[in-house]
Amino acid sequence: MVRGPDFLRAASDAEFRIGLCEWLARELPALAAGRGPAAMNSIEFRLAWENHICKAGLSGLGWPREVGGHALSLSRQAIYHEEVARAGAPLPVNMIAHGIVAPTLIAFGSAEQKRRYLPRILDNSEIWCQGYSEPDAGSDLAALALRAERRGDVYLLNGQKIWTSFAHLSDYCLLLARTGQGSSPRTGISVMLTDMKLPGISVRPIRQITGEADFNEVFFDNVEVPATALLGKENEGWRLAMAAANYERSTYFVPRVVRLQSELEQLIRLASRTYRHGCAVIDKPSVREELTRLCINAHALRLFADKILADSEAGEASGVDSSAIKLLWSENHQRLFNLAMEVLGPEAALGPQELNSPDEGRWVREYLWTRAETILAGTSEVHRNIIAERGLGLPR
Amino acid sequence: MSRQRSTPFFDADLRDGVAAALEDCMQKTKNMDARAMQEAHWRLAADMGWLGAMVTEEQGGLELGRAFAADLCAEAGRALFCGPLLETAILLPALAAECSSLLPLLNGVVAGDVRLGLAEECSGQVLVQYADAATHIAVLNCSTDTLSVTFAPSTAFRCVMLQPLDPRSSVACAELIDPDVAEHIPLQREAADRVLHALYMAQAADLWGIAEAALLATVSYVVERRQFGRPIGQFQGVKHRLADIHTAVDAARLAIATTVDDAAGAHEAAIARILACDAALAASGAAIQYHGGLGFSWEADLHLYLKRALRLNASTGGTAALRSTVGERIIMRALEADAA
Ligand SMILES: Cc1cc2nc3c(=O)[nH]c(=O)nc-3n(C[C@H](O)[C@H](O)[C@H](O)COP(=O)(O)OP(=O)(O)OC[C@H]3O[C@@H](n4cnc5c(N)ncnc54)[C@H](O)[C@@H]3O)c2cc1C
Repeated sequence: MVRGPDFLRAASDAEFRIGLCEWLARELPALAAGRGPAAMNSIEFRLAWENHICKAGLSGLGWPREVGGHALSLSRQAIYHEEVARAGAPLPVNMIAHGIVAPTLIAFGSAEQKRRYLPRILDNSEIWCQGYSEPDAGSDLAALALRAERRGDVYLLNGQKIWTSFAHLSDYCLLLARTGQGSSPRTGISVMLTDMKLPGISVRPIRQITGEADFNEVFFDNVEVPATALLGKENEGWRLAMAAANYERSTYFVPRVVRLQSELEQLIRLASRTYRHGCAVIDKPSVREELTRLCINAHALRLFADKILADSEAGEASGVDSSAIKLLWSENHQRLFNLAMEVLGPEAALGPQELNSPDEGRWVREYLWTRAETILAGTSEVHRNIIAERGLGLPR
Repeated sequence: MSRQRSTPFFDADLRDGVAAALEDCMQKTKNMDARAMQEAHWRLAADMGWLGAMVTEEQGGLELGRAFAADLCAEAGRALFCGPLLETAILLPALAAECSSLLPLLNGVVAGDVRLGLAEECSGQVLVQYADAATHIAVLNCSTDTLSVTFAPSTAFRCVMLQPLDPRSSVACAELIDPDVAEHIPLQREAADRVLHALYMAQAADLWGIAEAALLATVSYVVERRQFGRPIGQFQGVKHRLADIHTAVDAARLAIATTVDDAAGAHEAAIARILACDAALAASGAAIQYHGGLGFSWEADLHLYLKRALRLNASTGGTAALRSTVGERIIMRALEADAA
């Protein structure tokens, strides 16, 4: 099956990049239709853009052809993510589906599960969320307690998830549940492909410090999930969940590093057009010094991202590099917006939804959002522990 | 035993009285919108006489002095008081002491009828804090040695309300439309020093209150919250960072305690504000981080500390600019001492 724009079949990486850039330069501004930075990052536009990409055939880039993918090499996938980010496209909403669920299904799903779910991820008609964290199982994920009891050909689910991003928009959930008591907490966990419309599931949005409500509490009250929703083997879900987390790693940071670099460039521009007491803020030694540090760290980040990609292409495990890059990225991203608040001066006291502030409030909005980045996908403390214990071999 | 509240700057009974009244009021007003909350908090401040803390007894004030003012502002920060308390109760009397035409306003300050919105110029526009309820607005223009203040009734300004970062504040973009009623108050060296001393000290105390409250909230959470079978406060990654913040909070407290001294000036108060601001940003940031997902949720209220700290950090020229001014002065003094 041949689908998608021609550049997908380019002979060289360079041609691939050129074709992609041309496509992006045409399609993104057309869809954005004069939206400013705030509207470009709204959920509504993020979904519209994502649907547009998928409709154009630009999804499943790395999937095998048998399941409707393009079987692109990792380096081309990286070019794709890099250029999309550079073009200023917003981050996808359905990233759990494309980044985690799809590769996990491809590796572990039954033929029936692949047939049922993959096409609707490919065209983005079904949105997925990730139901891992619970009130008492955050950093210690293996402590999760949501029960799934086998009753004939269904599982009966009881319990609660929390901080589930986009659960209120989702059709399905990649859910971790406890199906058995094993020798350690990690045995006895199973992965369920759970229909969010089932009776007994209720979703309560939780407001975030940004003022938006993108994450949720999800309650399961005697929810009957068909046994066919089980992914992989019963009680062996931990290994599967760990593998799932790994699929994303090779390219996850590529767009994020590009975004950080372009935010740095925009911050430099903001600082050079902002004047205080007659001087451009960019001329302040403290601002220049911090900008320099950030630029150098961004360079190091880029090198980490390249190394992780090269290692994945060579089939090598990334070791603790994925923890290192997560730390380096999230902490420098926070620092970047700390500096932005200083550059803004009195305007830093304006709210995240105030369109009359510089760049429609994006600096303050992102400042607040970056506080989450050292918490989600493994807190900074957890990643430091991993680096110390697995990277340096320090005693646990 | 976990960290307890610090000793007051002035008097324990008075401080605890302020704290208890504020806590009670915060409970009653926590579900109000910002406007209604500000009214309720303001009424409390007037009824308790806090607004007259720095006003002479002749003019109906309590004349309690700077040390009490520091306690009052610290409690306001801790409790997340909504309203221009330090501007009205501390800054305005300090300005009036230098500019007698403002003296008649002090009766109104004590009664709760006057509210001062502090404003700053920024890329051509003037941003005013608490403009929604302010009866008067003061635009501050600081340079290294002098300070000039444009003071006018708020009716002399046209204000457009904007969304504030700190939900317990309000902010407007303002334009002076009636310059004839505005008073321009140039303050020379010593007068400027006295006014800035009062302002920086009040801001430092508010920031310090935020810092200590955020630290205490985090300490009680990390001893309760368990992951991996033990309290997260047992992990050294958490312990060490909180130990650093504890030290920063205490350093800021010592610096504020010195500024209530008569010999202290704006320079010392600026140092206190810098230390308190660093402590407040660190403590409120750590509060979010160590509460995990909960810290990022609105309902946990921890963001209110961070946002208040950011608002104060950005005010009166910003802490970063203050740091370079203070730095210049320290270096200059050292070089002068060397030359002598
Ligand atoms: C914006 C956002 C979106 C999210 N989206 C999702 C989602 O879609 N699906 C999902 O399942 N989850 C999601 N999460 C949840 C996230 O994965 C958890 O918040 C995270 O794992 C931390 O768990 P916790 O919140 O329970 O904090 P805790 O684990 O209780 O941690 C509290 C603090 O203790 C520290 N700590 C814990 N253990 C240690 C240790 N051993 N050593 C040192 N310090 C330690 C932590 O670093 C943290 O600072 C999201 C979170 C956020 C903020």
